[in-house]
Amino acid sequence: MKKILLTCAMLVFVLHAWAQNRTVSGTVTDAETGEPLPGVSVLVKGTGQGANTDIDGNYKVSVSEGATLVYTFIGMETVEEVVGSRSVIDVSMSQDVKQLSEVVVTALGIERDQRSLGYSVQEVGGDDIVKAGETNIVNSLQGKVAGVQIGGNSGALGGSSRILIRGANSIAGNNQPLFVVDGVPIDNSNFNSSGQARGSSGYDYGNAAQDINPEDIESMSILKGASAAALYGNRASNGVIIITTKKGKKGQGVGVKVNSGVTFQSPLVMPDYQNEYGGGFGPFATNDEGQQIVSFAVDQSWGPKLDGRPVRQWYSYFEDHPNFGEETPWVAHPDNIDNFYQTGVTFNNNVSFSGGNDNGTFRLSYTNLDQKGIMPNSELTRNTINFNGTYFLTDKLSASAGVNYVRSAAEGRPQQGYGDIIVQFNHFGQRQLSDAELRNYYVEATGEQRSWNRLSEGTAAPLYADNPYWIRNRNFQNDSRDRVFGNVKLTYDFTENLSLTGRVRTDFYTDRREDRVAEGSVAQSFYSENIRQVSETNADLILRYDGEINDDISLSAFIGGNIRRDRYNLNAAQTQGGLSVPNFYNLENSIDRNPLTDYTSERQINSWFGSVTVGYQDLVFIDATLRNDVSSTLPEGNNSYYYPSVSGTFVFTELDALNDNGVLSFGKLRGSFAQVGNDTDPYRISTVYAPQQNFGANPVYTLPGTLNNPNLRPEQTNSYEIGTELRFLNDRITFDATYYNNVSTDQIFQVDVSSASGYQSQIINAGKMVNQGVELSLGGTVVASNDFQWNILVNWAKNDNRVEELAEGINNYRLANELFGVVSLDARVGERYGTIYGTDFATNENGDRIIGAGGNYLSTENSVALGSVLADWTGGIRNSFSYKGISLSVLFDAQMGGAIHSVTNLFAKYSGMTQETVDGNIRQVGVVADGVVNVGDEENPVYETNTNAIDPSAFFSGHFGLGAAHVYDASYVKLRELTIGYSLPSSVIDNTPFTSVNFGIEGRNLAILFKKIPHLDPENVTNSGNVQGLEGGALPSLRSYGFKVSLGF
Amino acid sequence: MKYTYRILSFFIATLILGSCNDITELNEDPNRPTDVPVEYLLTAAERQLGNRYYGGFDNIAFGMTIAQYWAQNEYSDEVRYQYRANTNNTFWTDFYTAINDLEEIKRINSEVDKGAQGVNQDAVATILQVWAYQNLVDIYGDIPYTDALNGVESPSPEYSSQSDVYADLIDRLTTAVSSIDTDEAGFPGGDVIYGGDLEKWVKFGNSLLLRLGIRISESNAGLAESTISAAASGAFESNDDNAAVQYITSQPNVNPLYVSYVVNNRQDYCGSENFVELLNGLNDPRVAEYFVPAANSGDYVGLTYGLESAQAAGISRDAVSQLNPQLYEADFEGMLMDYAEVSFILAEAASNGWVAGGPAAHYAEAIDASMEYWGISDASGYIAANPYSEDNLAIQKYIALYIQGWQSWAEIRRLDLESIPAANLVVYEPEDNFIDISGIPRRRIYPQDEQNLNSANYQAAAERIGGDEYSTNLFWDID
Repeated sequence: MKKILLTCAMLVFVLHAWAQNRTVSGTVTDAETGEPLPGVSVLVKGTGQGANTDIDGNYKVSVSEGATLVYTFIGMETVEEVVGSRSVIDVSMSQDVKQLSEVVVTALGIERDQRSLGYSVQEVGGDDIVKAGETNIVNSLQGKVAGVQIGGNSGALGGSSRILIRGANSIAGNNQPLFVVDGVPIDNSNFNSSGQARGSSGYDYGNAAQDINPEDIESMSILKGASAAALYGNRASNGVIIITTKKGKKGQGVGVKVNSGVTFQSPLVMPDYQNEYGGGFGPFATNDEGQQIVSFAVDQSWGPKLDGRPVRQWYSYFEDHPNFGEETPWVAHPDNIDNFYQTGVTFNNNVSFSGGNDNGTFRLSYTNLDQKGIMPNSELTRNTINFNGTYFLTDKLSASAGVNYVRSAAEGRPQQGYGDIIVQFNHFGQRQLSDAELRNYYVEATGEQRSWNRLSEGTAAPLYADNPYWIRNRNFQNDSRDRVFGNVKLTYDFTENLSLTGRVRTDFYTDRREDRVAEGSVAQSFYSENIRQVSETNADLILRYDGEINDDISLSAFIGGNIRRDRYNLNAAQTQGGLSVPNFYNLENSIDRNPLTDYTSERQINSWFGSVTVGYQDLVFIDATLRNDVSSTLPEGNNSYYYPSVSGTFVFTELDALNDNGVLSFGKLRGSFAQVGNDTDPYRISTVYAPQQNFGANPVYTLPGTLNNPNLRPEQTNSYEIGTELRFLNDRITFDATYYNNVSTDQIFQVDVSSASGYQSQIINAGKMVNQGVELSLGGTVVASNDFQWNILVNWAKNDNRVEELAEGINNYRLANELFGVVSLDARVGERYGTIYGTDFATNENGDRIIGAGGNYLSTENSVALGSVLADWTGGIRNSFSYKGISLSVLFDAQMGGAIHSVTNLFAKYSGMTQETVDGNIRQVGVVADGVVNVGDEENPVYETNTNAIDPSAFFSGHFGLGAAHVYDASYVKLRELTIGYSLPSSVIDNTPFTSVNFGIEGRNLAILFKKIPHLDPENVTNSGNVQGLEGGALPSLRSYGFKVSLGF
Repeated sequence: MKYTYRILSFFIATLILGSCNDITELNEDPNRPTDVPVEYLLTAAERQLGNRYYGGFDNIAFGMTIAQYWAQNEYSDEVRYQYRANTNNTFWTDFYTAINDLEEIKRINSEVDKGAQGVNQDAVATILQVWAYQNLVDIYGDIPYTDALNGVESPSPEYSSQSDVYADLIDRLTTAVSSIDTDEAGFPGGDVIYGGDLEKWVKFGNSLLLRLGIRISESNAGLAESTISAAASGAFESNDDNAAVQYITSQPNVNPLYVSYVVNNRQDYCGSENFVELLNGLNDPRVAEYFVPAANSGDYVGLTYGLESAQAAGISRDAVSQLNPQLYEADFEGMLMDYAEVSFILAEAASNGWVAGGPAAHYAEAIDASMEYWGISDASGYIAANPYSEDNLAIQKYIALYIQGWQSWAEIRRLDLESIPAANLVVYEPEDNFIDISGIPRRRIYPQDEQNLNSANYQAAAERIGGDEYSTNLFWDID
C-alpha cells in the first residue's frame, strides 16, 4: 500500500509540474444577493486541476497559457471564463432552474430526465453509498429509499442482506430485485441451505451481489415498479437496481484518488443473561473424596446459586491446570460471552486512476477489503479490480469495455441459527463458565478436546457441546469466490439521432466451500467440499432513435433483441463415517463411500423488445414498451410470453396558468401499467427418478419428493401505479407520493401437499396474490444560508399483501416449518403472505389465559394465525447539516409490525439462561402463571385467578410446544447511520499536491431506540429468500464505527 | 470502416445463431434419469421404511419409551409424552413416500409384460406396503388409503376408515401371497431384507396375515379366525425366516441407533426402572443382553419412568443401566417381524381354538425363539418357572418384543398390559398441561402437516375416530 501511495504521489508531482505556469485569483459571488459563495469548484478545463473557493468566496489557481476556468456549484448555473491575460477574475453565479430537471438512469441504462418518467425511480449517489461504510451495498440503501425494505446486519461475517421492493410479489419464487451493473445482470444467489433459512444451523455465505464494490459506484437507480422493469424480463418483476460504475470523463486529464477507511464492529444487542445461578439441576452431587461436583453433563442453568462455595469445576480435571484436583469458588462470570467476542476490524483501501481526452476515457480502480469478525479466527478478504474504458474509434463508432474481477475468501464464518457456539451461549449452557478457562484449556497436549460439558466426572468426552474455542480453532469452514463480470459494447451513430449498439455481457464465478469437523468433537469427524460454477451471458443488439418531429413533439424509440444463457453447476462431496486419518481433510480420507452431488442446469431465454416515447413540449410524455420472451424452461407451445407496458406523465406546472406562481414550483402526475411474464426453474416438466446413495452394492433410486408438471404455463403479474411529484417554494420543499397495485396470477410454485398423495410437494400453476401500497417521500431545506445548510428527507411506505387464491383443493402454501415444527410459516388464502401459524394461549371469553391443573398455560388445540412476518410500515428520516466544510448526516429508520418466532427466547428461558428465569426470586418462590383456573367443570366453567406457584424450570420448559409463547413483534427504531465529513478548504491544500482532501467519520447501527423482542435484534436475517421471521439462534447484530480518508490528486 | 462492419456482423450473427437453438431440448434434465430398474426403487423403499421405523425420534424416542423399555437420562420429554411436532411429520412422510416407491414398481411393471416375474415383484411390493400400512393404522387410526398415492389427482387425499383399511389389507395380502410363484424369478437384486428369496417373502406375507388377524381378534373375531387359520401353516418356522432390514457397517446403511449413539453422540437412553425390575424379578437372562449393569453398583438398575428433565439429569448416568452396546452396532438389523411374535400369535390363536394344537407349546416355542435370538441357548428352566397362562403370554410377548417399540406399544394397548400388575407398567399421568392424557396413549395424534396441508379431510377423520387425541382408542383396542 505504501508503495502505491508513493507512486501516485510521484506521478501527481510530475503532472503538477507540467501544468503550473501562473496564478489566477478572484472572488465568486451570488448574482442575486451579492454575497460571496464558499465551496465553488474552480477547475482548469481539461485538466481536472483546480481549487475550491474559501469561506470568503476567494480562490487561487495555477493555469497555463490559453486556459479556461470552469466554475461549478450545486444549484447554480455553470460559468466558464477564458483566462486570456487576466490574473484576477471575479465571477457572479446565478441560480440554475434547469439543474433540477435531474437525469436518472432507467432500464437498459438509458438516461432520462426524471420529469418525463411515468413511474417511480429513486436515485442514490455513490457518495452516499460509500459514506455508509457497508461492505454489502444492499445495506447501504437502508432508510434511503421509500418502499424498499432491507433486512441485514445478522452479525455474520459477509452475511446476507435481503431487499424487498414493494413487498413480495411472488408466492414461491424469488422476490429479490435484479441487480444490473453497467448493463450486466448480476447473480445474487447465496446458496445457503434451505434449513438455515428457518433457523437450522448453517453458514450464511451472503448474497452474491455483495461482490459489487461500493467504492466503484457512481450511482444507484432503484426502479421500483414493474413498468420500468418490462425491458429486463421476468427477473425485473421485483424491481431493478441499476448500478452505474465510475468512469473516466472526457477532457479531465489523469486524476488519482485514494480512499482509506477502517471500521470497527462490536455486538449491538446481547441477551440479558442471568448471573445468579450456575449450570446443573438442583444441588451438587458429591464424589468419593467428599468434594462437591458440578453437573457437567447438564447443558442448562438451573443449578445451585452462585454463592462462592468451593466446587470441582470442569477444568480441575486437567493436570496442567493450577487448580487440578481442587475445588474452586462457584462464582458468576457476567462478562463471559462478551469476553469471547473480539472487536471486529474492517480495513478498506481503494486507489483509482481516471482520465480522458478526445479519443477516449478510462478508469482503473483497485480495492482491498480485509475484515476480521467478532468471533475468534474469522476473516474475510475481498480484492476488486475494476476497469472501464471507452475509445472513440471514429466520429461515429465508439467501443467500450468494463470488467470487474473480484476475489473473495473467508475463513471461519460463524455458524448461524441453531448451531454450535450460539446454542451453548444462549440456548443450552452453563452460565457460570469463565471465558479465560475455556480459552486457555480447550485442548490437551495430546490433541484431545476439553469441554465443560464432559459426560461425567470420570469421562471427559463431550456430551452435547464442544468447547467454543475448539469449534473456532478446529471446526471451521472456509470458502472463496473468483468472479468476473463485465461487458463489451460497440456503438455506431448513423446520424445524430440514430444509433446501433451491440453488447455482450457476462457474469461468471466459481465458488468453493469447505467445511470440517475435527476428530474428538461431539459430531463425527467430517470434511466437505462444494464447488459451484455459475454463469450468465447476455448478447443484445439495440437500434435507437432520438429526435424531434417538430418543435413541440419529441420522439425516441428503440428496438432490440437479447439472448440470455444461464448455466449452473454444483459438484459437492463429503466424507462419510468419519475421517480415516484424523485431522487430515481430504475427500479421499473418508471411511465410508462419499456421498456426491453432481448437478447441472441450463436455461436460455430469447427475447425481443421495443419502446416508444413521445413528448409534447415539456408538458406530457407517453411511453410504451413491449417485450417477448421465449424460455427453455416451459413446455413447447407454452413457452412464449409478452410484457406490454404503458406509462404517462403530465407536468402541470408547465401550463401557462401555473407558470411563475410563487408557491408550487414544480408539479407532475404520473401513471403506468405493466404486465410482466415469468418462467420457472429448469427441469420442472418431466418425471424423473432421484438418485440416492447406494446400499452396499445396490443402487438406489427413488421417486422425487416433488411431482413435476408437464402442463406449466408462464406466470403473469399485472401492475399499475399512480403518483405525483410536487415541489414548493422554489424547490425548498419536495414531495413525492406513489400508490401501486400488483396482481400476480397463474404463479408457478412448488406447493407442499399431504405426503399421503405420494409426494411431499407438487409443481403447479395457480394462485393470485395482490400487493398494494403507498410510498411517500418528503424533503425540505430547513435552513439555507451561505455557511449553514440543513436538509431533511423523510421516507415512508406501507405495503399490504394478500394471497387471494391458491390451487383447487389447496388453501395453504407453506413456506417453511420452524426448526422444531412448533410453528409454520404459511401463505394461506385470504391472509397475508408469510403468516406464522401455531398454537396460541387458550383463553376464556374475557380473554384471560386459562391455567391448567399443573399450574401452566393451556394452549389452543389447533394452529391459529400468530402474525405476519411482513412489516406494517417502514420509514426513515435523514437530517443532513453542512457548515462550511463540515457535513453531518443522521439517519433514523424504523419498521413497525411484522412478527418473529424466536427459538433463542424459547430455549434461553427453557434452560434458565436469561434474566426472566431469576426475576422476582422465582427460583425460590416459584412462578405463578398469569391467568385463571377453571374451578367449575367443562360444561359450566367458573374461572378464578390462578395462585398455583410452580417450579420455573417446569414452567418455561412447558412452553416448548406453545407457538404463541415465542412470537414477538419485530418493530424497531434504530439510529442507523451517523456520518461526519470534513473537506480541507482550498486555502490549505493549495500548496499541496492534492486537489481534494476529505475526512469522514461514520457509525452504523449505533443504537436501537425501540424494540419489543427481548434479547435479540428484531432485524434478524439469515438469508435473502422468502422464509423470514423464523429465528433459530441469531448471532448478535453488530454496531460499527470507523473513519476514512479520501485524497484526490 | 470494414472493421466496424465486421464487428457489427459478429453481433448480429451471435443473436441469430443463439435464437436458432432448439431451446426446449435444453430442458432435458441431465441430473436425473427418466427410467430406472424396479429393484432400485425396492432398495429405496426398504431402507427408508427401516430407517424411519427405527429412527432417532421414531422407535428410539417414541416407540421404546412409550413401551416403557427405556427412560431418558436427560431431556425426558418423550417419557412424559411431550413429543416434537416435526418428528411426527417426518414419520408420516417417509412412510407414504416409501409406499409410493413400492407402488411405482407396480406402475412400471404394468407398462411392460414381464410375466410371472412381474407378478412376483408386484407381490413383494404389496407385502411390504401392507406391513407399512398396518403400522400407520396401528399408530394413527384412520389414514388416507384408497385416495392415497394419487399424486396430482388428489393432493389432499381423503381418509379411509381404519377397519376398512384392515379388511382391504388382509384381502390384498392374501391375493399377493397366493400370486407368488416361487419357481419363477423375482427381483434380480436390491432386496436388502431377504436377498430376493421368494419363499421367505411368502412366509413373511403369511406372518403379516397373522399379525393383522390377531390385532382384530376382539373387534372382528370372525375375520381374525378365518385369516389366521388360513395363514398359520405358511408363516415363519424359525428365526432364519425373520424379516429384517440387513444393515451393513458402512454409512449411510447403518442401524439408526448407531447413528444416534455413535455418529451423533446422543446417548440419551437407559433402562426404565419398571422394565428392568420386571426382568430382575423373573431372573430373565435377557436383561444382560438388553442392558449393561450400572457402572456404580454393578447391578441392573433402571431409571424411574416419567421423571422431569431436572430430576432425571440429577441422577448420574453411572447410577443406572445403560443400553447394551450390541443394540447400537452399525449392522444391528432392523426387525420388521420375527418368529417369536409368530409363535406368540399362534399360542393366542390356539387358545381361541383357531389353529390346531395347544397354546402352551407355541408359547414355549416363542420364548425359545426369543432366547435363541439373543444368544441364550437353554430356556427350559425359565419356561418352567413362567408357564403358559394368558397373563404370562402377554408379559412374555412384551419382554420378547424388546427393540420393537412400535409393535410392543400396539400389543400393550390390545392386551391392556397396564391392567396386568405383574407386567409392572407405569400408568403415568403427566402433570404438564399441554397434552390431554391419562395413562398410556392409545394412539399418536396426526402430524401437524396434515392439519395444515390437508385440513378438511383431517378434520373429518378426527371427528370420525372420536377426536384427534392421544386418548382415542383405535377400532381394535377394546377395553
